[in-house]
Amino acid sequence: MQQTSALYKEILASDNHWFETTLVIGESGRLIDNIGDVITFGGTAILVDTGGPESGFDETTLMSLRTSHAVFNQNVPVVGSAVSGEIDITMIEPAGNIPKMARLAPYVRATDGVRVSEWLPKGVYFTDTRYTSHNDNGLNVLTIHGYDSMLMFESDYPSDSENTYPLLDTAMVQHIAESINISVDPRTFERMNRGYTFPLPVGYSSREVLGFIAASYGGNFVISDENQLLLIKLGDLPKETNYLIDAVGDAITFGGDRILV
Amino acid sequence: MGQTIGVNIAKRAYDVEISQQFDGYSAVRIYVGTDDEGNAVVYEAGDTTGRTLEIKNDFGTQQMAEDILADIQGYQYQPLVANSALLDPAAEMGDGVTVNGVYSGVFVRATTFGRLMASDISAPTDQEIAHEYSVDTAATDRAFSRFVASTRSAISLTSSEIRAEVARATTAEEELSARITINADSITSEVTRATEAESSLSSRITQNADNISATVTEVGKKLDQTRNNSSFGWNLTSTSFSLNANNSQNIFYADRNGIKIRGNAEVTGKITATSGFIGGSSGFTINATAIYNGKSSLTANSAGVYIGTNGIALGALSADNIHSKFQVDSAGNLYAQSGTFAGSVYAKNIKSGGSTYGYFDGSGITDGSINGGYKLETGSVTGGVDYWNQPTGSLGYSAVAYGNTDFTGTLDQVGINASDISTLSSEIATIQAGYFNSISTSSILFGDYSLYVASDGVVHGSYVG
Repeated sequence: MQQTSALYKEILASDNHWFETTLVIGESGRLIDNIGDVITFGGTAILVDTGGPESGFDETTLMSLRTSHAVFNQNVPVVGSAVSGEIDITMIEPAGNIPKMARLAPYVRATDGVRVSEWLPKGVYFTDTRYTSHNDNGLNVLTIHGYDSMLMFESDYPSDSENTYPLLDTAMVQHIAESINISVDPRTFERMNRGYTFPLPVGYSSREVLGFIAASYGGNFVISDENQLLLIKLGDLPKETNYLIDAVGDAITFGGDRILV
Repeated sequence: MGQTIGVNIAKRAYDVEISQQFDGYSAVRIYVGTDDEGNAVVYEAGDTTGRTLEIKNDFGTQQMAEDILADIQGYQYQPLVANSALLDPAAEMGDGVTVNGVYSGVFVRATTFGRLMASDISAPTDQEIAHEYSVDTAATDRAFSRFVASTRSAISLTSSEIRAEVARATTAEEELSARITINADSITSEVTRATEAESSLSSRITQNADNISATVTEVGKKLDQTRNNSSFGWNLTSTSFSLNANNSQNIFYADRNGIKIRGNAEVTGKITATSGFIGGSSGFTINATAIYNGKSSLTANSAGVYIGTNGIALGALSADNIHSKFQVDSAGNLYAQSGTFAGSVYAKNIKSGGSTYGYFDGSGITDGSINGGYKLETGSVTGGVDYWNQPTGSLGYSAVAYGNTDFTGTLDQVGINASDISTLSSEIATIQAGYFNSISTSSILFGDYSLYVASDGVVHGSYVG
């Protein structure tokens, strides 16, 4: 579970709440309005840093946004997988050029109409395919399909002149993650606590190596919503939290706090 | 970083499907691959009282199997599907969820972003164990069976290589395998047949941009456990083709300049050569008109042999510095430094004497050595004969000395005609000068005595002093 603020929890605990979405495309861009037209100042487009959720496209531009993830690479419980997450976007085509393999970062926040929570990152993806069509309103509709960073590991294990092999498993995971400039979720290293070492995996892709390491711990790797490499162990589900719930399963709260039984 | 917690989404899902919980895990089995002998390497931990977690890990160890078992032993996977579930967006993959009172994990999730942030989540399964009507062989067992089956195949695809492999154990003693490997710079196909511990045969064809090569290798093991290995192959490049044995020795090599053969060659057809060697570059040289070794022409002043269209010769030049020690030219002229004829010699003209022909040594002539109708022609004997020992056969002569030496014994006229004598007048005159006063047609006068033949035919002698 991603860490959230108390405000977020309060809003979710309220009877009347909903979520807002924003999608950031690219690392930087030109400031645009809700239908994708470039906003100018004195005839000049305004460059903005699109790394944050405030500069993203919201529901007025987004027609649909869907992400999908799987821990297993088969339709059965297995270990040793490193499955890539995917994103499908349909939106009004924005002005400007979306570069190849553009970064796609959706965010979500909770609101009750008065208060809004912080934006929660919901993964980072990269454009794979795109096409544009025209809808009945005469707008250009852009459809994008992308994958998260896991797909980048489908390349040879990165060359390594700094480490000596056999190498500790955590160092190998760190080396792999750094090769594509992402970080490792701290929970991953907490779970990799047996100190296995591996020889230099000549002829293997990074994703294969991640699979072998995950298998060594009876788990699977995914890219988390924080865009970090996360190991999920098969038998590592938390104990069921026995909150008191109502007839439909909603938590019963007392003064905003759920009642643990 | 978040926390891993259980989330209760209760009945807030449009479509829920909950299957039977799996049995708890009681064993771990890691398939590592095959060893050098082609045997499957598998590490196992636990027992068969529950479910087995099967893992493919090229770097697996026995310790890993035991460690993983320690983590999952007793864990019961709970399959479920909950569509359009109103799951907290903060939930992550692997978090626990409770759906309709059933607790499981979020292992598959598809989220539709919007006001509700609804998700389709599941803990998937297609295992027989989820069905009340089970079959005899569980999927896990089938997976293991596939792994160790008598025939197994594998195709791997990476960013740098495509590999396809099929292996089959034909009997307990023999295994066949074939593999094709493709990468950016080569295509390799291999077929191997291993027969117990006795021997293995393998063939390989490798194609690169600059060459194609093929090799067949046999690794045999004799009864005494020593290896009896052999290989044979070929290599083709843009400039040459070669056959090699035991991976190193080129026994046949061909390029734009011709061919080279190492070892024996048996040719049943025609060989045409304008030049070359027999016995290596230091052996016989062949050219269009001759074969020679050490002697490049008929009269080259060097030891060796020469067989050419202009003659045959052996050895360096002889003492005359003109002819080889043995030489026969194309006109039939024979020259030999010396020689012995143990058989018959037929000659129209034998010359001896002088600085060119040397001397005739008759010391070896014995009685009967020269026979038949022999004749000394005028001028045929020059310089005289030092000593001519006539045979003493039926004619009863003892010896004749002729020329510059004395005659001893009796000089008989038989066989010598008068005309022949007349031709010896000068010699007779010499005789006269040495031994007689005068010789006429009717008498011989020597000293104070005269010998003459009277009319009665009797030789008379008289003192004339």
